[in-house]
Amino acid sequence: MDKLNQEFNQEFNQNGGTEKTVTWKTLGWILCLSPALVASDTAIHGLAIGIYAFLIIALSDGAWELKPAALSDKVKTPFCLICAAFLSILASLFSRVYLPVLYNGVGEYLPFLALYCVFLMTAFPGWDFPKSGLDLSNLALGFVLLPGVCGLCREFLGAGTLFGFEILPSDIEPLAALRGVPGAFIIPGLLLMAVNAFRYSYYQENNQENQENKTNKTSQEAGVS
Amino acid sequence: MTNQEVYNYNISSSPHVRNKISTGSVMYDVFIALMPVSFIGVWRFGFHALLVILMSIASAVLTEFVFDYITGKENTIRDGSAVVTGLLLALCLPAGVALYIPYIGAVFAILIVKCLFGGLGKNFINPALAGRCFLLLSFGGSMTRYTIDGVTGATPLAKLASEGSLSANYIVKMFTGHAGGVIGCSAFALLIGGLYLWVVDGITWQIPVSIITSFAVFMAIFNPENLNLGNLIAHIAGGGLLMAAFFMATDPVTSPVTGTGQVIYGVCVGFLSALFRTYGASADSVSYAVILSNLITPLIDEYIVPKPFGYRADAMDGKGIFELENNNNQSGWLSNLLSKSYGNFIFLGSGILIGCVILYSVSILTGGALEAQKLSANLEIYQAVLPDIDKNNINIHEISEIAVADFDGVVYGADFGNVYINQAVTAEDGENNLIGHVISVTSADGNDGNITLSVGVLPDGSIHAIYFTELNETPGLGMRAAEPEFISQFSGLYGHITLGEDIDALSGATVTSRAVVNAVNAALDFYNTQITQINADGEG
Amino acid sequence: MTDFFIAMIVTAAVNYAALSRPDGFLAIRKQDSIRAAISLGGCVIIIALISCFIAAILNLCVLAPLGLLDIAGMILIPAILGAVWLAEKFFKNNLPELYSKTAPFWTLSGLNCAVIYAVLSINHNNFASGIGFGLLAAIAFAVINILFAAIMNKIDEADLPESVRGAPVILLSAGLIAIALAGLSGLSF
Repeated sequence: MDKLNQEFNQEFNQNGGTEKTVTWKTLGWILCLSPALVASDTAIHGLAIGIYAFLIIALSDGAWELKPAALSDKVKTPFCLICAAFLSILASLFSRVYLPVLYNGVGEYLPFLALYCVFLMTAFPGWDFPKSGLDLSNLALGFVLLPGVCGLCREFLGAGTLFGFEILPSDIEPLAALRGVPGAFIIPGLLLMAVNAFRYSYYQENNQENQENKTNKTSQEAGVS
Repeated sequence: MTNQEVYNYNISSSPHVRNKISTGSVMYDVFIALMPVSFIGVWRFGFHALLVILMSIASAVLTEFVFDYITGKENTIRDGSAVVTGLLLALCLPAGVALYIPYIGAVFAILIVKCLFGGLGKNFINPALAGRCFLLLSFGGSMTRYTIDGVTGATPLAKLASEGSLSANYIVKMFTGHAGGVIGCSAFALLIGGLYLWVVDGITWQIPVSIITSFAVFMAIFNPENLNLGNLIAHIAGGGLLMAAFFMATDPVTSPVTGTGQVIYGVCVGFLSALFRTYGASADSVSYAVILSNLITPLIDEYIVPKPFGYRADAMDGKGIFELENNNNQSGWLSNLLSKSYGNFIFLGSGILIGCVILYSVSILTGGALEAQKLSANLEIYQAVLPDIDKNNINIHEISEIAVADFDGVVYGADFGNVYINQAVTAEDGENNLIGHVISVTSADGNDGNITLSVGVLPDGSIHAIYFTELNETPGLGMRAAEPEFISQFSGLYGHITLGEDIDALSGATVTSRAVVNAVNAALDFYNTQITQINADGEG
Repeated sequence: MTDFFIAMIVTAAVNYAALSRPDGFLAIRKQDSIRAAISLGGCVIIIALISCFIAAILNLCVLAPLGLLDIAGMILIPAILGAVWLAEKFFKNNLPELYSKTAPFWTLSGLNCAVIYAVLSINHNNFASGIGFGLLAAIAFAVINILFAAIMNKIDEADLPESVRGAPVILLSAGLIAIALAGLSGLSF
């Protein structure tokens, strides 16, 4: 991301605000989980695939953390791949029967989700398995939130329903393109853009307060921060 | 320099010199060139067409103004590009659309396609056409309802497809704008506008000429019927081809810079248009062709402008994907195993095996519950298609005398298109009295995929009801097949069903209607040939 | 079904675009980006051929008769992985020049066989259609990636608004490409 982005993250880390960075970082990492974006046609599908994604990533990465010490780091890719494949098929077999509300519509994307989760775990820079409970819960929030919100938007704008209930009156036609494949990318793009805009405005406000507070520093240091 | 630092410099790839006459003057010329088409459109289609045009232009300008205001950039509505985009979008819409459609289309086109990518000159696909395709995908019904004098009619191309050829009189109508279509449909006015634009150096000749000629050539290749001159002219004059050739594809931002590149681009547009028009099923072939070619433009620009001598990318070094062979020396049984050369293989391989075993057992364990669910789902279907079924007192069994597996995956019959028989069961009640048969049949000729339905046939050979188990058609059009009004037409029919006589087709969804009728006919044929034969054999 | 196909290919292209940014995993320089996309395409086509072959054999001879189609993923994904590893070893040892040109992408294309897996997950009745679809998917993937690389080059020249830089512009352009590809969804020969 941008230099502005890096400075923002640094500043937050220094101020002890790690919880915010983990949540907001995952919103960017979701880029690797494109099947999740495509699968979140409706709010329920979005939440479901977010839950699956989180489970697969948490359990696979957790298994890797618990690996025997003799395994070298280079085996991470095949190890995580096998774990993710196993977990995704287990999840699909299980939820097909016992949790059909989570499986319908999302089931065919599960194997691809496994492969892309492995992407995130092994090939994405800056990925760290969250070490504390707070980080883990923020990760869960992030993973469930983005596909869920995208699904909500796509469902509302694209079909006029919310969680299956018709909201829009029937003579207003919804924008069906947003419900299909183009919407799978346009809606998250607009959402991430909104998040970025919010972040930058927050950072600039924060920056201005810091500049006012640091009256004792030299002008050069104040200019840099 | 690290990669980060390199990225901070504004390195732009060639070409560095683009043909930038003042944007304002080019836009003014395009606007003037579009005046004949707009006038004829408004004159022909009435006041509502004017409202559509004005709404589109107004929302385009407003969106650009608001965006520039919010992001603090300088106002660019003076250069007139928003006006031209709005006008082009409006000329691609049917005259009778509700006014929110041009509004949404213009907002999408200006905001998402143009502004968010950096404003004028930085978009990579044509905003007007992207807006039109977005509207086509979103509002399928409204965008394909063309009205002349308030009466819904067929477009010239639809007429050509159904009648095989058009009378010369009708073709002349297409030129003057009297035939149906979008607002900007008068071929004559488009030609005049295009000629004017070429004369004042607004566009180059390569793109329109290459588009029209390659389109004609490929239409003739794909469908030899088109060698008839009248058909060819009708295809060129209709369907938005001239509009695209002169005004849309020639957009200097999204078309290549060099002449050769433009010819390649034009051939691509022509080829794709001909392909989509002959084999495609969307409502508009040329729009998709142009935006697909717009995607190729940056690539053409990279390679058609010659690179400086000596340019060569250095070889990139390799990060191996994963090392599965090991050379460690540690103690402990696991470490000993892993330290062998193929230790990692054994570890991972055993993991795979254990995983397979676990999953297989889970699938067997859950298979039972899954079967029970499927059975109850099937029972619901049977209840829907056959009369008086008591859930507890029913006896369903597959018809054992026919090997339905013979028909599995094989297209059934010759007159029904791509239909497949999935399953056929007999339903008897508790006292072994025959209630009827249920035949599940799939037609692959649906507009958006497969249509699967179950037909309930009574012992006298007539249909009791049908029930759709898989229907993924266009909402508002094909999806209306699942509504009771359409389904109830099938009850009581037998023998061979003819679309148009026994069944009214869904308006705007002829493909879906035809597929459904074919599927039902196939089921009836299956019943009449296979099942009655068994009954006859049984009795005789 | 075509929608699914297009969706999978565009998601793979988005993935590649995200990872090939300068601060991504591959960190490709801007002037190399189209060349890199061509190399990626070549890689994926080779891997597609190998893995479709293996998967078709497995599907027809092992999985279908044994009724293991449910858990096919568990077997096919490691099979694809094994195919990629074997191919990479073969290339490293026997064709080192070709390997060095396409090197960074073996990782990515190995994992990107998600796209190819999309095709494998459809049960084909015969060998030829399985391999044919796999090849088609790989070629489509290659073409889309090359176009996307060229488009991202053009976008990066522009002065984008701040909030759109980075992830959102990749997603928005992928969305527009998806709209363009929607025209291909109704084709029937």
